[in-house]
Amino acid sequence: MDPQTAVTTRDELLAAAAEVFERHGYVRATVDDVCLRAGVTKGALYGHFSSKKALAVALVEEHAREWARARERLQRVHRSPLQVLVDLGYATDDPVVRRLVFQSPVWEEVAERQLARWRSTAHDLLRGAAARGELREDGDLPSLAEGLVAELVGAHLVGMAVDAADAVALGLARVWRSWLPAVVRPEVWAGLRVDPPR
Amino acid sequence: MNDPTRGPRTRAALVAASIELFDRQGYESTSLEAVCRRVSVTKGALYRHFPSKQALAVAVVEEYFRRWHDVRAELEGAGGGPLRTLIALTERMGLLVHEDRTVRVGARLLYTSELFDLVAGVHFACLTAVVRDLLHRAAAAGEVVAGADVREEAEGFTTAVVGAHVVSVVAARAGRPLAPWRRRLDRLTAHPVLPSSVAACP
Repeated sequence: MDPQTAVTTRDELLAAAAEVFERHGYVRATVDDVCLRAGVTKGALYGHFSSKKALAVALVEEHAREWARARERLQRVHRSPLQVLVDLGYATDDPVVRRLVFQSPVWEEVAERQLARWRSTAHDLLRGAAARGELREDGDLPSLAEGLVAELVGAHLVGMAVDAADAVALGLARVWRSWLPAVVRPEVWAGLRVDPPR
Repeated sequence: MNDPTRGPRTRAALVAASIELFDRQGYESTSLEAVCRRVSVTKGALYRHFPSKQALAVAVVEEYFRRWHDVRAELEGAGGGPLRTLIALTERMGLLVHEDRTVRVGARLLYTSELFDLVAGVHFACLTAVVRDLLHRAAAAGEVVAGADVREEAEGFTTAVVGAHVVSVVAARAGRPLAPWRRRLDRLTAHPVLPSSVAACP
């Protein structure tokens, strides 16, 4: 198999797995469903992924890589690290990945790493904002980031329990509306957009 | 044979054994056979109480919900006022995730399993209602700054509490529980600094 085909098959399998997990849920989904959906043999799937769990972990990791790319893109667009932080919060809003991270047996493999990733990114961007003098006080930034991530996680989970497509986004906007004015300087707050980017 | 307390006792023993096994080996890896062995009952006896493993897990999560109610009732009985009750309730439940097996296992089941779809919506709605009620009463008692949007604040407060619990459950981190909701409260209260009630709770 040439490398180009291998990459495509892998991507197709991940896309198929995302659809199957969305439709049946992780627990009830089978490797056969994914093969059928992707139009590949079981042998071909096992050439890329050793198990259903490996597929799920790979989906979460792929999402994390996309998220990192989204951050780079946003940093080129926005001057303020805080606007990057707000928009990145919305960029984590992938229903399939969210379910895999929190409500599937895969959580033990991925959830802690995912939270650590969010914390370090939030800390990093807050440090950037502090360096630009955007924060009210440059106190304990790791704790600030930790508390923020906990609130964002809460918004994700509470939103997931509500049967409305935009519930998570509304919850995230609510977090930003109360969190940012308490932490950033008024003139900075006035220039931030907290609703999802169009 | 006709001991009327036997049914409820068996049921309680099954729930207690499930909590212990779910804590040790996780929900997914615990079999109903293992639960039966632990309580020394047949699978038929288990099925009389719980038609499935999921039903057993729901009973475990209900124990967790009961803890919320019990702690709230106890704190209200202590008569510290609505705001103090809210703070103490939140802090105590945050600590219990680490210290109390039922709370730990119940919260973990609620947030990291298929049970989320079944019961999380109701739990969040109840939690928001409790917070809203306490904040309304705090506002009526003049403990909250004038003009606060109690409805909105209750939603935000609940979100912060849920998030802190999820992080505790997922990371299983020991030490000081997160209190992201405290900042909200400082902003809301007429009295700027409320002493932490953690020290007062055994």
